[in-house]
Amino acid sequence: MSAAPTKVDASSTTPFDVERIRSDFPILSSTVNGSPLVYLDNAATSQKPQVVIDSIREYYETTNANIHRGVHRLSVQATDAYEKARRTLQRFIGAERAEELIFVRGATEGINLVAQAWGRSTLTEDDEVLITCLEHHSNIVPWQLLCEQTGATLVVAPINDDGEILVDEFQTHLSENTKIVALAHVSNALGTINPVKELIALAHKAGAKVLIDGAQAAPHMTIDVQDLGCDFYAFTGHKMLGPTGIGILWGRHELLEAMSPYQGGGEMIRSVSFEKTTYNDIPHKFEAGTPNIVGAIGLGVAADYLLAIGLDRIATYEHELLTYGTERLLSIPGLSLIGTAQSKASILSFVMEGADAYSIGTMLDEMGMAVRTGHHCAEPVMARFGVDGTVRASLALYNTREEIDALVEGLIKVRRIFDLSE
Amino acid sequence: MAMSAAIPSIDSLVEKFQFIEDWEDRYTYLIELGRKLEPMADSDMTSEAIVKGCQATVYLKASLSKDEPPIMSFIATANAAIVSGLIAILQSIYGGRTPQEIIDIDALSLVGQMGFEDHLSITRKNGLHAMITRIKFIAAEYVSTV
Repeated sequence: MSAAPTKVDASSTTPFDVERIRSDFPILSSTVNGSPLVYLDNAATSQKPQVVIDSIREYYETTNANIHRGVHRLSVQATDAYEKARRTLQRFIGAERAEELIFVRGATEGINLVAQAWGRSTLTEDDEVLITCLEHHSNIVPWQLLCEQTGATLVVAPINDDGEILVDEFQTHLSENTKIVALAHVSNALGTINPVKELIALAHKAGAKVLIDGAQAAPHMTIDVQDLGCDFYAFTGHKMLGPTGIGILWGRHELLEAMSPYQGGGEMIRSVSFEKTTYNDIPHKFEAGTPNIVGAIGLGVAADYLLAIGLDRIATYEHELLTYGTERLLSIPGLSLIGTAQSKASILSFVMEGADAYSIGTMLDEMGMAVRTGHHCAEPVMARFGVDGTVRASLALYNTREEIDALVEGLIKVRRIFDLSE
Repeated sequence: MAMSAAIPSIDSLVEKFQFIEDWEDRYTYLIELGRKLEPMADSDMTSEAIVKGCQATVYLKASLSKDEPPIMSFIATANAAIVSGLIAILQSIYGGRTPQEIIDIDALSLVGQMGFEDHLSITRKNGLHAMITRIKFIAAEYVSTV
């Protein structure tokens, strides 16, 4: 099986042709409630380009077989496609070795894997896990569970009113007891791009390992795990144009080698007897059972698609869109942005005086617009800003200024429905 | 009776909503209805009073009058204007009824007659279902204890 070629031009000198990109995403030409779909819920999940959809169909039509264990042609082809996807993702995050990438269900599973397979055998009751106030529940709860299991303490570094981690404060929360720091590369609720390289260096200086939750960074910027210097990096496929149910946990070779298996089953063993079982090499040691083969292949195609456009170009385009969106939204009376960091990914989280997030989201839906409302699985962040939820418009490479304009017009209409001044 | 006198009868609500064609005007009216809700005391907003299954946070508390037959009433509040409007509609539907009558009324069909089928998103419907289920559950408990 060969991955379908992407339609996009790899040349970085070509202007960013958003209309051409949009034409790769079939769902973007659909209508919702009689209006053209304006999809602004990309931080929840992104839409999929035709090449990803085709790769899934093609796999089942031409290649489907179980991997790593068959001598027959299809099994070999399926294994090749699966391992090729791993190498594509290795390139996507600049990892030194392909076997450092473990296919998981998503960032959530990646974080749980580290908490259990590394944390449980490493932490004691004297130890601390440091996270920050802006984490997604997926980067809070696995550590809470680990702390309950080991008696270790969960420590939380604060953020300022713009939604930025206070580096000095972060440093004071590090101690010789800090065994691991787990922090988001980009905040899902606020859009803040954290200075992870700097924070990783500080954590390492204190002797701690660092896990980065890259779920919101992967579709929006170039990631280089070697340059960042972290120990683990987890991200999710479906937020970066890939299928659901697949993601990556990257870990340093020596750490993964030393870790115990996360789950037992087929694939992860070398030999099994009732007296003693020996485990397979990484990454297979952590991929028990038949994996999400087609998901991995689809994710590889998605990564290729993003690489072909160029993550730096995507970041530049989305930043322009964010700047435009910020200006336009702030022109609406009573609207306040939650999350105003200097360095921000394309997330516009806001509240509007006199209208609740839930109703705003419902009315925008009537107009064909998909936004997220609520706490965005980050309740501590909402509590920090004293709100019980926000409306979140999260942008992707295929969004346009016209869609921002539609959002603004929609919000003005919402104000009219609520009988608020215009 | 907890239902505010300002909330119109169910017949006039059905008529009114059938008359308003534009979805924006329908929401405006729904929000207006929600604003008429009697405020709920903070002390009644307990974790037991939370209606599970609503995306918005909804608190609901019912009581039974000493009349013969006893009339069931409820008071509820939501942190979303649209849901508050739906609470007002439910108060109109269920107002002045005995628990048995509440069990027997097809509230969803009445809401359907108001033409909300096309213009209430799935999550909202779930919230509506959750509120109706809770009200009927309480009514059934009253019936079984009377």
